Amino acid sequence: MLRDYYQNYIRPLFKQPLLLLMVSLIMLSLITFIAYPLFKIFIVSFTSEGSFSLAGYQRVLSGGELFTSLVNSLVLAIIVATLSTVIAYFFAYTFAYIAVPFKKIFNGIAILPLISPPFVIALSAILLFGRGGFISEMIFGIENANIYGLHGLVLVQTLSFFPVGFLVLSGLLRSISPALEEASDNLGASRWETFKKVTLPLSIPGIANAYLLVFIQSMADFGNPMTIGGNYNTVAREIYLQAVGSYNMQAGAALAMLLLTITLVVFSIQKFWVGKKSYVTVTGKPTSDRKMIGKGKLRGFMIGTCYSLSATVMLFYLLVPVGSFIRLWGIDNSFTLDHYKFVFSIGQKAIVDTLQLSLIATPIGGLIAMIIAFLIVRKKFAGKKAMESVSMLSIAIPGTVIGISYILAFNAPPLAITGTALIIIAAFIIRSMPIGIRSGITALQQIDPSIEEASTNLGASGRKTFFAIVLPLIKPAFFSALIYTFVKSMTAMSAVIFLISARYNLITASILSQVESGRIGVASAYSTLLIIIMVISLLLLNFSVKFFSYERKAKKRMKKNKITTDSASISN
Amino acid sequence: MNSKSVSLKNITKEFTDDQGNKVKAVNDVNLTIEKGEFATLLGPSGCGKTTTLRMIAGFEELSYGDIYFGEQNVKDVAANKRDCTMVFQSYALFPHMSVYENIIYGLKIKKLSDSELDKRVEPVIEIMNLDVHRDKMPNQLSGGQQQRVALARALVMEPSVLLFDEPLSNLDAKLRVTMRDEIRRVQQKVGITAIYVTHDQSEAMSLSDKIVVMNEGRIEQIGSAMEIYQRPTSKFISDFIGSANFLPSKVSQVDSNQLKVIYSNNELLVSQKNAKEFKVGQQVEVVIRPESIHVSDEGDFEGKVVKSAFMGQTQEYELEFNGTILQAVVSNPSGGKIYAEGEKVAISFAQSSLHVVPSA
Amino acid sequence: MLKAYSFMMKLILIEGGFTLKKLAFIFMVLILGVVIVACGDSNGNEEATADQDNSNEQEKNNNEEEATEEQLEGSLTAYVGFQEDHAIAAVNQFEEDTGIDVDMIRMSAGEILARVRAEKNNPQADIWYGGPADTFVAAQQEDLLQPYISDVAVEGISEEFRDEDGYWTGVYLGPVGFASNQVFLDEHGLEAPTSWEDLLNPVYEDEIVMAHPASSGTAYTILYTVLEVLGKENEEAGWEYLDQLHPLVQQYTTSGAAPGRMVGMGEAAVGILFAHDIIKFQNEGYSDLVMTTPEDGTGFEIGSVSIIDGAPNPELAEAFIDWAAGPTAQEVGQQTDNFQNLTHHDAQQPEQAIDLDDLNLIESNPLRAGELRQEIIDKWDNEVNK
Repeated sequence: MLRDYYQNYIRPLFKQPLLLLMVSLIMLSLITFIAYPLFKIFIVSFTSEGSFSLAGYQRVLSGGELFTSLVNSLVLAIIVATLSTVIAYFFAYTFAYIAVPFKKIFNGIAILPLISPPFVIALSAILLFGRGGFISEMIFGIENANIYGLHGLVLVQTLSFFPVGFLVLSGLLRSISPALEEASDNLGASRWETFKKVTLPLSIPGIANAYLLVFIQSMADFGNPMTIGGNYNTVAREIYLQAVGSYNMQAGAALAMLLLTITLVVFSIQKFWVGKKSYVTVTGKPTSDRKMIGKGKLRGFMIGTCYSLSATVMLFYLLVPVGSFIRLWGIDNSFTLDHYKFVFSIGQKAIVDTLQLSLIATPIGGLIAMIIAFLIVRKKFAGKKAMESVSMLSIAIPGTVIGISYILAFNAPPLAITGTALIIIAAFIIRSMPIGIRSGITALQQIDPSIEEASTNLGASGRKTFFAIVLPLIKPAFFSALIYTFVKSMTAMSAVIFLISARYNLITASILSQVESGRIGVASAYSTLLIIIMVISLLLLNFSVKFFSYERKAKKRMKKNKITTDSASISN
Repeated sequence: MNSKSVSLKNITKEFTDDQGNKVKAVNDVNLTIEKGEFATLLGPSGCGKTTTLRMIAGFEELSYGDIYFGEQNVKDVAANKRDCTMVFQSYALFPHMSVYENIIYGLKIKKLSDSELDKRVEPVIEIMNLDVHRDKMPNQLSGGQQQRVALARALVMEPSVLLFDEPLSNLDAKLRVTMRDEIRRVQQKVGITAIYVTHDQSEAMSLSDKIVVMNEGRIEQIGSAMEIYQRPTSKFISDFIGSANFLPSKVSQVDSNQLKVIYSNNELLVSQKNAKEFKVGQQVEVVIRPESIHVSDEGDFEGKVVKSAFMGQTQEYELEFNGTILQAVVSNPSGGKIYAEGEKVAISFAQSSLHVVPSA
Repeated sequence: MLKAYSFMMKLILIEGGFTLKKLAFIFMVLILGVVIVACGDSNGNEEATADQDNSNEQEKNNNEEEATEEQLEGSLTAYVGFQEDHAIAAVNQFEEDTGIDVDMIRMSAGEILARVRAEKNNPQADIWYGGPADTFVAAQQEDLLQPYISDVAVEGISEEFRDEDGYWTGVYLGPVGFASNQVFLDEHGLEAPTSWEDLLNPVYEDEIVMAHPASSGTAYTILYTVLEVLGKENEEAGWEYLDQLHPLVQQYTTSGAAPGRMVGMGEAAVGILFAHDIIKFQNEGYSDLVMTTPEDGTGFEIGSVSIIDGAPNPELAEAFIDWAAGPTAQEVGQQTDNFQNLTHHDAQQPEQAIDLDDLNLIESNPLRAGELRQEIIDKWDNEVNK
């Protein structure tokens, strides 16, 4: 057994020095920037003045504001997850089964919230539904509208997170073989019966998946509660107030541990229990195209609902740029450039700093994600399971937990790096890495491993194979990891809000402070900048995925060949 | 070409499966392939043939044993330093490189000068008929063309040993035959040592100087196509190579090169080179190939037609013979008599076409 | 840097093939970039100390003039409690006046206190600029501050507005006021509240906003003021008042100024915050905002500045205090619409600022306020904000 393990997992490391180097470097970074901080937070939550103590947990669990925040977050997460899942299923079903004009646009809308700056929806909600809000006052004439609190949070989080559920569910519905439904149809079931007895039961794992993912997002959300939570306190916000506001690290750590436990448990359920229950079997044969529902009363209703919901999401995104040009929303609706003047003069440092740090994090993050994906998919080595689980689990660690754990871990020697760029860059990379790894893994799994073996077989070293064969083949995934890291870093807040220092200011922190002191116009101007960056990045991504794929190269060659053969035939 | 012989000495590959049990994918295999020889590892899926090939290429670590290319033990030589190239089942062409770029990939790594490179590449492109395709991308080629590129890419390296991992399994039947002949032609022309893995017996028989039949991680038999077909050493081989009928019998007499066996009161005489390896009273199986069964009105034994099917070139029968169902194939049936289901017939076997293997 | 970067990205993305050379180059640039950025702070500090050594030597030569000139180089780190625009304008002015670079981060006073406390063993900043004196006193009691008596302050600022040992120096005053929404008042036929009792009118249920004492210095000043004004004779009366006020409060905001905007927007009827913040919102165009002050007595903050104990650049920090105490620095606020009352005799008081003589100010005692700070906040947290 031991010899077996040595043969298959340890010996390869020593046979390939580069592999050993990569594995140890990555392990070291994962331990330093994920495992060690989490360990530290665990210790601190049980320590008071140097000795073991349960005081932190007692404070949280004995009722009071800390406990309320925990309960509040759970209630919020349950409501938001339920609503989002229902809406997401409705959307996904409509798009999978009904002929909807302009489908592509809606896919874009679904991606928006995934990379959007954290404040946009909440800011818009204030502009729309707050006092003097566009909808609340001008359309409905409600004067006492109060958007702050649970209902505001439910609205904002549902709009922000239902696309997460939509992506999960539309993937699932697409993979249900239409033959199953045709069979049911063929056996005499009505469409409703088919839905009830075939489609719905088949999609239950996906529904559970969507529910749990949204649940985690809602629990971990920081930006929305900060902006629109009002007196409805949530865990993520309370951790911040405890850690940054009153520097009560023990209570903050205890709360963070509880939050982390909840999200990790939910994530594990999602990954290991629901994930395995999927009924959808991949046969390898492409499923025949589903016949889309082209008419009927219900169709109109469903399309109408989806259109209006999408329009609402669009409205939320458009309103922020509009608001950035208005002097004082609801009070003095005149046009002004003052907010931008502020952003580009006084707020300029934050923009420059954020850009600089994000641009450094981008290539490192993208490359690390690809290397980890490659190691996980293709290599055998000791500690691979640990590497895989740590790097993937980090998707379930709420940003605020990362933030507070970094303060605790890196404030004192041996690694006193608070206040440096390094800590912010590390947070950027850790936060965006799981998605990059996932896209890398997906891309690699589509590539026949014997292609890399062929390269080795022809004499290429591991490094040569990675850079000459693997990386070019997963270029689209690599590029999307780059873009994602960049956008995510530009808009990062929940983790880095704990880490900003006098030397480095970040746009999101500036937005938060503007929101706090009530300068919605300036906050909107900053957010508009971020939206523009985000949209450009998305377009770049879309373009580049096409540009970098080798299919395109093949097409180009084909054209060239045609021309040369044509000219050859002419000369003949 | 600096072709080399390949020797496998006691090579073993152990895995631990999901339940934690130790599984030997390859179990103590010994084999020598001579310089310039075309050897085929043949066996059903899971028999260890591909693992063996991958160990030769260096993609899998050996648990025990040694591998020699010529005199050199290559056990600890890294995969990219081993002097053997491989043609993969999926061809494994680099999809982002043109045909030409694919072919020169390995030579570029060797840092050959441009003139040397041309000297090596052009003959191979010529041999493989790839000249018109050199600037195309792999996904613009047909399966057969891709196969030729993969072979060219391996050949151009002028390795000591050429490895093939079921290279024809993705092609349609007709192309498979063409490519098979092409591979054999090229191999003989360059005189290179080749090791070929397949589960298709006709491929193995048409290509190989030497067939190595594997089963459950072990070598069952090594021999030429004819040896393996006519003188299989086990029930497994006789069943796996071609089709065979088995008569469970008991040895009644052992001579120097023939055996007498009893099958339910019928005595059969079998010519057998290794007759001495059997003992009187031993349970054995008599192997009868369907084409060796003679069906007529008069003969040695009595049987009954259970099923009769006219196939054009052949007439296929199922015959009941003392409790055993025998498959029989009669060629060119139109010339002779055709028996219907239920008819009684006489069955006879040529002594030389019978063969005895130990009971499994 | 930018050029190298774009070249690098081009290598990664546009050029298909990777050679070892290109790769080595990419990694070198990456590592170099990280090192340069990461070491930015420490470099600055080293330069600063080097300069100080230099200047010390020159001081020995009794060449004081040159020495002071030499001091005006290097880099300071400051935690600033002003509003962001004021903070940045002030820092820019300082850099212009002295040539000393400043890295600055804006936080609420409570957050600064928490941060300075957290960094006690590894101080990152030199200066704490802005925020009520009582927070400074709280910090002083935990040995987080370094005393420095500035000649500028001694000459120009009256003793009641600065610490006698120089732990903090008051640079502006900010009285507590009420911000009310005129529309709301008109609808309910009310006058703007002019006493603390007025706020207990049931019509204000869920309509009052103030900041949270844990994070905001403003909010603590309000708590202290209420306890001083209403609990003058009987301490319990002050707490009773807070108990009664709590259910009427719609929201406790993180930052002290936020209630002004909420009232201006009509999201709440009355906000309790500093007068200068109310005036700032009025200036920004919140036309429905009316400001009143409690006639039964109002407290005020003494916005202060101090050197943080263990400051990496103590001499530059002293230069900063000298500057901040002076009239030029104090007048910066007006340029960005921040209208605090200024403490330096020679400073031009902003026209828009509230006239302190019109107010019924409680007796200022930052020392006492600072000593009681933690106790009052804890009690409020445990007994009022349940």
